[in-house]
Amino acid sequence: MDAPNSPHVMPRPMSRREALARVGAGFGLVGLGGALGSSLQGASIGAGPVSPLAPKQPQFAPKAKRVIYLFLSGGVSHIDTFDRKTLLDKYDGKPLPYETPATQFATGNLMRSPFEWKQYGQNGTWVSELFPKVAPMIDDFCLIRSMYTDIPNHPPGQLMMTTGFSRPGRPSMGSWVTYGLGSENQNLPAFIVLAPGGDNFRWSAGFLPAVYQGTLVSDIVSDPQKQVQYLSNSRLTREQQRRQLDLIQQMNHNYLGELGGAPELEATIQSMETAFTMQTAAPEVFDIRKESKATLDRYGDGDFARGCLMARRLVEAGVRMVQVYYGVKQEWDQHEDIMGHKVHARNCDPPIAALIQDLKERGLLDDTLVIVGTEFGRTPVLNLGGFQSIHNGRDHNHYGFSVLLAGGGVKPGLVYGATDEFGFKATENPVHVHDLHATCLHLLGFDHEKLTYRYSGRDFRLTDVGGNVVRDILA
Amino acid sequence: MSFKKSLGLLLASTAIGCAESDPAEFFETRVRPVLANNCYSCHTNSKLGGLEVDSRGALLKGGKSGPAIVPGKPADSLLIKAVAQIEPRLKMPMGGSKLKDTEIADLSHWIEIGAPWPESKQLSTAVNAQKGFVLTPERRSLWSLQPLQKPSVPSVRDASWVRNSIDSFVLAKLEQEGMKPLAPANRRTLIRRATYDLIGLPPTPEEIEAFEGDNSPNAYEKVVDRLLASPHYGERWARHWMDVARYADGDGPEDKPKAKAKGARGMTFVGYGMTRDGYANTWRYRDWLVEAFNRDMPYDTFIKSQIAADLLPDQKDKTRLLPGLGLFGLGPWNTGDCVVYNESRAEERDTRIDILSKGVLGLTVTCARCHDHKYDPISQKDYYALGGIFYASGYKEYNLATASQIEQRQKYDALVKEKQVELGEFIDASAVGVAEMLAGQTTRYMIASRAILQSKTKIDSPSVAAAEKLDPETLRRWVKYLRSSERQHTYLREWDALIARGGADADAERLAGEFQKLVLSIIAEKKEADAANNEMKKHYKPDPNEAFVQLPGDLMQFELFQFKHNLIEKAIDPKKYYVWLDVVQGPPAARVDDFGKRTGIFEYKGDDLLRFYTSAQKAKLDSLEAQLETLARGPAPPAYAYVMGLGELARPSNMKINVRGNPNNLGEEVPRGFPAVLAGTAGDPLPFTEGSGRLQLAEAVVKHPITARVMANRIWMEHFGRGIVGTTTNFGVMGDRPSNPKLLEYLASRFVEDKWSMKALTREIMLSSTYQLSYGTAGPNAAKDPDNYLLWRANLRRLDSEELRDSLLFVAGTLDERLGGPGVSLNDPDNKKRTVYARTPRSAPNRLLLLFDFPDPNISLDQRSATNVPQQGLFFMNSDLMWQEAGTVASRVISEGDDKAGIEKEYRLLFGRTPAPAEIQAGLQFLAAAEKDSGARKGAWQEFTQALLSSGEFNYIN
Repeated sequence: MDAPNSPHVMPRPMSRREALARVGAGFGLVGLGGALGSSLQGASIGAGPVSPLAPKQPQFAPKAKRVIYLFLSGGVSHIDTFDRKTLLDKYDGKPLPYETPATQFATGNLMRSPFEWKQYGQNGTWVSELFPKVAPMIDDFCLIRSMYTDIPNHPPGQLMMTTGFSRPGRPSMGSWVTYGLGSENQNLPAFIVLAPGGDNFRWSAGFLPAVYQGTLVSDIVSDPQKQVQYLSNSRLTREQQRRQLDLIQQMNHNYLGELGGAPELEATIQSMETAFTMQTAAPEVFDIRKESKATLDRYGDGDFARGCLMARRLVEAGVRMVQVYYGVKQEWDQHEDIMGHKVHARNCDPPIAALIQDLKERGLLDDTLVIVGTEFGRTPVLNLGGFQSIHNGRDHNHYGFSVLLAGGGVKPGLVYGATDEFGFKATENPVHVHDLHATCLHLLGFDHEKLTYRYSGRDFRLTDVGGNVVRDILA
Repeated sequence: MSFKKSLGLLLASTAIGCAESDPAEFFETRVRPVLANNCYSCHTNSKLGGLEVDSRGALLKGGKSGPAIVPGKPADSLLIKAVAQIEPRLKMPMGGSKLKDTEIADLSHWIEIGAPWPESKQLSTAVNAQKGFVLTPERRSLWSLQPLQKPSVPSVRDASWVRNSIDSFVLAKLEQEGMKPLAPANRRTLIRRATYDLIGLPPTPEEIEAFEGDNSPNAYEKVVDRLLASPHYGERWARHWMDVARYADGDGPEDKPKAKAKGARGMTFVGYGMTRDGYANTWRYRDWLVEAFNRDMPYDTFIKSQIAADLLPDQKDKTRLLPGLGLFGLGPWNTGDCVVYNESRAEERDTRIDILSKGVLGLTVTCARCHDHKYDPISQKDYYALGGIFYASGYKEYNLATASQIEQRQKYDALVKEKQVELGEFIDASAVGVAEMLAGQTTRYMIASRAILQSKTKIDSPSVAAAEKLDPETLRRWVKYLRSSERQHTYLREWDALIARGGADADAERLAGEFQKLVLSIIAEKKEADAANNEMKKHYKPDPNEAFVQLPGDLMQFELFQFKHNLIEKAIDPKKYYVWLDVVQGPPAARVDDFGKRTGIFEYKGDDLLRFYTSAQKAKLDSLEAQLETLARGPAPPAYAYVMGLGELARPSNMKINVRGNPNNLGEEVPRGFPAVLAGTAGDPLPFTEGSGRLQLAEAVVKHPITARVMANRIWMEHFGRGIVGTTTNFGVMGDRPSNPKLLEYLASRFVEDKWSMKALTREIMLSSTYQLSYGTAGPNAAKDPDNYLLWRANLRRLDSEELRDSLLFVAGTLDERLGGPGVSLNDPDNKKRTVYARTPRSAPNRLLLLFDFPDPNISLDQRSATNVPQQGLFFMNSDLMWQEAGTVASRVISEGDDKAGIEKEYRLLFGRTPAPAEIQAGLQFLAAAEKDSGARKGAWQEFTQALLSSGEFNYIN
């Protein structure tokens, strides 16, 4: 029987790219062809196969060309850092005057912030003693005080902030960004994750082609050879390797001739050459030991400091998206004792300030979007459940938290939105995670509803079925 | 047919009989009905593609692609282009039959005359009243849902090319387009292709040569049959299914079972799916798959077992087929998210519906989770009817051991645990006892420390300890502690000031005395709180009104939630706790706090603690340790095996619709059942009432013709690189249409006829001329069909991640070919087993595999991709694996003093052929130069071999 609607088998205009798709070359075009319109398709028409990571034009003129996403895992307490609530001093030890919203653990009475606060910048923005280096630079940031998310637990919260969905399996923001934009540097992965380790979930490409997944580079050490998988060869000299590669390529060309043309193999020949140059190009970029002592001192020590400094070097080299994680799991998670925030702030504050400063000095901040995020905030009420030795900490709070943005077309010096007077819930101009993602994509030149990929019968996007661009924060 | 030409024909027919009609009447009788019947269902309220077609204004405004009509210019109107279905990406009506030519002509004419649209509110109301889910005949007519009809074999001109019916279907299409297939592949190419396709490994040189020298007419048939009979066939084909099943060895991030963090009551707090045994039994499902393929289990049985093996009527079948339940039993189980209980369970169900509907039925039913499917005839009710089946089926472990074996093991485990707890408690208590004893001497330690800290000359702390009869180590700690004044508490503020200014001895005595009193009171307070908390936990009873679910590792999800999250322990004052941490005990190892690992001044562990033990305490410790050692020395009863699967809940219940997909916003209850369009019911799902309904579901799934189509297409896809339907998991409206519909019908019919034998179908495909074609990209065919949709040539493909690693080990002669068994991490350098046996945690798949497009085990895969990135080149050039295996291969071929012989041997081993003279020459030159640089013949050979293993000829199959 003939199926209704049987297609015109010959020729299918998308089919060439579709065939290339299965070998990677030009893969990004399959999903994007419809979404991005002719400018992109035009770019793809050429003699040879186009790399899926070749730079691509967004849908409209972008403000930001690259992204550095700093992620402070664990849930930074907004009311102890960037969202001062004087009422907490007044009501310290008293019950919240309205019904306490449900969070992860059982909670108790209100607790004041034990930290010192001062005003900074032209607007007199309050910042606590936990971020002494970031505080004087607060006018470089757009501070969103009205973030909210869906689930008060770490893995779903982190997935939400990084993939726009609270379960594993969706492409991460970096995957979407590189799928849309490719990368400026073909010698380096387009989307690099700097972290001491952690779960692949948060930088997986999900159903996007694997080429868009984040490449994890450990920032535990400073030696690039130990950071990037298979980067160097300790056995052969460069000359020996070149000779070896010449032999490989000679064989490949013979094989290509025998086959009478094969775009897949041509792409392999090309990427072997790229790999060869990458061996020298990548360490140059990753090696922060090349930085001056003054710079190294400014960033400070530790995984996160190394990650931030590496991030600057990587975006300078044309990497599209860099994500730096503070910690492996949930370091900023002080259920028992909020004083523990001190330790983590000491590790995070100097590198964040140094990174912004550095990007500014190099003229990179204007078109680099920097996001300082966390999975949720913390409750103004005491955390009681969860087998705590003492009750001096705060529970997860997905109803309200703060995020810092800088550069890349966001309004500097702006404080946007607000939580209620106790800092529990975002009340003024609430910004959902999808809104944040929609705004970031907008800054990169994409309508978040149109950066889509068809999988499983529907067009997926970073913002799932939500998201509104927060126009008020655009410069 | 070109666009211009076809449109010309359409427009030509327009003029006939319509031109003189009254425009309003023409619209009402000839245009509006066409739009209403074919377009309104998608393009009114739901505005697909941003387009509405229920007013002239809306059509002029158009959708995402621009205006739908240009009045007066039908040729420029997207509406006409769409319904004429000239552009492949713009074919309307989506999912329905193409409009009749006369209807298209009417629409063209209407646009030609300026697209008049007289107002009439009546009709649009009627359309609005139809809102909601309606299974119209058009929606039911979706091609993939129709009964199987085995087509007659078409006749072809070149009958000599036809080896079996498959070829007739393929050739008929080619001839229709005036194309000729390429010549058959040579035998070396063919056996390599066949061997990889069936067992995922290269042929041996001996196998190639035997085939090349076999002149019997059934030489190739013998090869195919040999490969189908190989136990490696199951390994290769099980892995294909594992992509669909999103197989993973547990949900946790660790390669190995995670060391258990001790929670209260000995309970393990779990993250993403840790179990008591670190998912030690997942591999039983994988091995079952391997065996199912090897034994050619009929596909209908294969599917039924994976859905409902536990419910099969035949007891013998049940036991044999039970491991199949791993499809759903292995997870993901979202054990970490006890906060969002309903959401977690909803996600688990969704993944199961996803595997079942996409993987088996080729339908994207999960699109109907939040609303009726936008394209396919699947309602939200259908989704929750299926969801209810999983809602009524819980996680279940089926023990494979005898009751007495299980009992013995459990008793043993309990005894070990009891002894461990006893030992642990004894040590903890004695450590606190020591701290308590030492705390009674706090004043003396502080005063002695002050003497050392304030002395102008350097005083030796051990000599002071000896003089004062104090423990030297404890004094050393005190001095260190009191030297710095940076503390989290303020109780020593006065003391610190006194040390700084060097005050009177009497004041020092007084302050030290006060601090001793404080420490002792804190110890008492903490002990009291701990005792109360232990008592409270012991008597804790979960709220029986709350929901429960059994998860892997004996976990009651909600119990854990209530217990850990809602139980409020007695806590001491933070400032006092800081003193406790400084002086008595640092933070417990399992919960090192944010200020890092610390040891309290009076805290002693291990041998240090023994120093303070009385002889009675020592004897007690020895006895406890001896008991544990005896237990450990065994013999311990073996850990018993079990199958991870689904089981029936005692009281199966239905689901309620989750309004907009929100599991906390419940709507109408939906009986468990099967989607209406598949069951052939009027509009509601077909209800299942036997238990959870899983067995009825299994029966219904294998009865529906789409199941045969989907699997036949998948088997085809694994041989040709692309399915006849390109979207292997989507046979719905938005999926591809078959490139050769009759061929797919034929294959699916044969599949069912042959009692669902996967091997028989595979064999028929492989014996066709179509499968045996050679590769080539030149000639007139390439211009007509560059992507080979019509199969005029073979396709080229790169080895996938498993084939790559397995081949390296295979040619090196180091592959461990033993079948089955528990998964082993690929990070283990001694692991030489086939890659299908690699341990694959869901959250952290192996990086080497990922580099070569191993699928994310969180999603059910439609088809592997083969991306091309430079990091793959780095793997070839720099990885240990490549270098090692190159070394092993080299040592197999290297022969004394004769590099030419070695090169010949290596070409034979790797590529199954003799090298050309130029290749030998190049090899000799390389070896000479390499040996000159490295000074070692072996090293030169290793470099040479690594190059050959990195080459396209080794890594591609043509």
